Amino acid sequence: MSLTMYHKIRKFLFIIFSVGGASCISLIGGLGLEAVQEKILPLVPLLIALPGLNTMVGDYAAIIAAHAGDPAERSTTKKQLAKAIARVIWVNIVGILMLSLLLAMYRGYIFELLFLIKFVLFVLFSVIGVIVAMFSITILLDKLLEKHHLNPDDVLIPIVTTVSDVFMLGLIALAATLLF
Amino acid sequence: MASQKVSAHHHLRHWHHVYKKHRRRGLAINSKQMAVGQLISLLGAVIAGLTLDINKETLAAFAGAFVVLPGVFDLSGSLGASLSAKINHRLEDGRAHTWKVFCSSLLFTYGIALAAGLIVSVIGATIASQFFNANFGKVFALTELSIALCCLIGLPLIGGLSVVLRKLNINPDDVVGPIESSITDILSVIILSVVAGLLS
Repeated sequence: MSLTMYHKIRKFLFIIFSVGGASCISLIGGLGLEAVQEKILPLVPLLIALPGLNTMVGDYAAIIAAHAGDPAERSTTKKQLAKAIARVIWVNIVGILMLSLLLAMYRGYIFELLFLIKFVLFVLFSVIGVIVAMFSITILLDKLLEKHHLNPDDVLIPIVTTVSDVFMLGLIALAATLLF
Repeated sequence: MASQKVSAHHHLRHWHHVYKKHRRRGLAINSKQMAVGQLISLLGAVIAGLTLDINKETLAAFAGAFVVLPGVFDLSGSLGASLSAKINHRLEDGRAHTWKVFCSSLLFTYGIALAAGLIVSVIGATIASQFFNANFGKVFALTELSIALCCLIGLPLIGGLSVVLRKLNINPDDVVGPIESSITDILSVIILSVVAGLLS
């Protein structure tokens, strides 16, 4: 086997194990879901919002990570990105709240004012908290990958989307147990 | 100024897509494009949520299904996003042949999906069998089949969308992420429910 082939195989294996490993970390969130499934399944608005919340934070994590990579423009890009996300995120939050509550009502779910307040506050704080955490993690990981001469497109996106999933699923499992 | 930036980062010469000579001509961050993408993603995700609510009994009856659900979502979604970013950045080289870039990126990502899917399936099945007395073989089959089918159907759609957006001068990095996660979320829930129903 030539040295080039050896390096290519090594790189491919690294990508598989890092991508697979990162997705395995999201199974921690699944463990939480399975453990609280009896509590979460009756909460129809939360169940309907679950993929949306997960996807939303994953999307923003992917957008943040996709804009990483050029060391010369890193700080400028991050500031522009933070401003752009701050403008757009309200569309997601309001949309998810309205659609999940309306669809839950359509599915026959009856909720009280207290539940509504808790649900709104939970969605608001969990989304903002996770996105702020993602910015910080992306900056750290980007510098680490640069140090090891690795392409962020292959590795950074799967890692940050997984970490955001775990955070959000963990918060949802905790909310189902403690808050609702 | 540009050549100073290059020499300051000479250790990054392997990153041909960021290096000055073949410098990454990234498209600007556009809030409007991002907002449109997020609206589409929101609708797709809520449809996935509704599908999840409709199929919750099937998934609840399959021990371990909820353990692997985030793994399937995550792997399918992140591979889609990676594929889109890879195609976008490779096409920034004006000499790149679109069809070759599309096919080679797709095949590469399929390979990663199958191999990484094996890891997720083994770990997911182990967790489900250890903590929730699930059947290891069934959970393994559920996970691997779901990931394989999601990628088989979803990845060509996402790759094609990236190529089309690039041709229309829309930055796929801002828009495809939300759209592909919508597609993979809905596909993941439907495929997971169907496979769980068949394996039960």
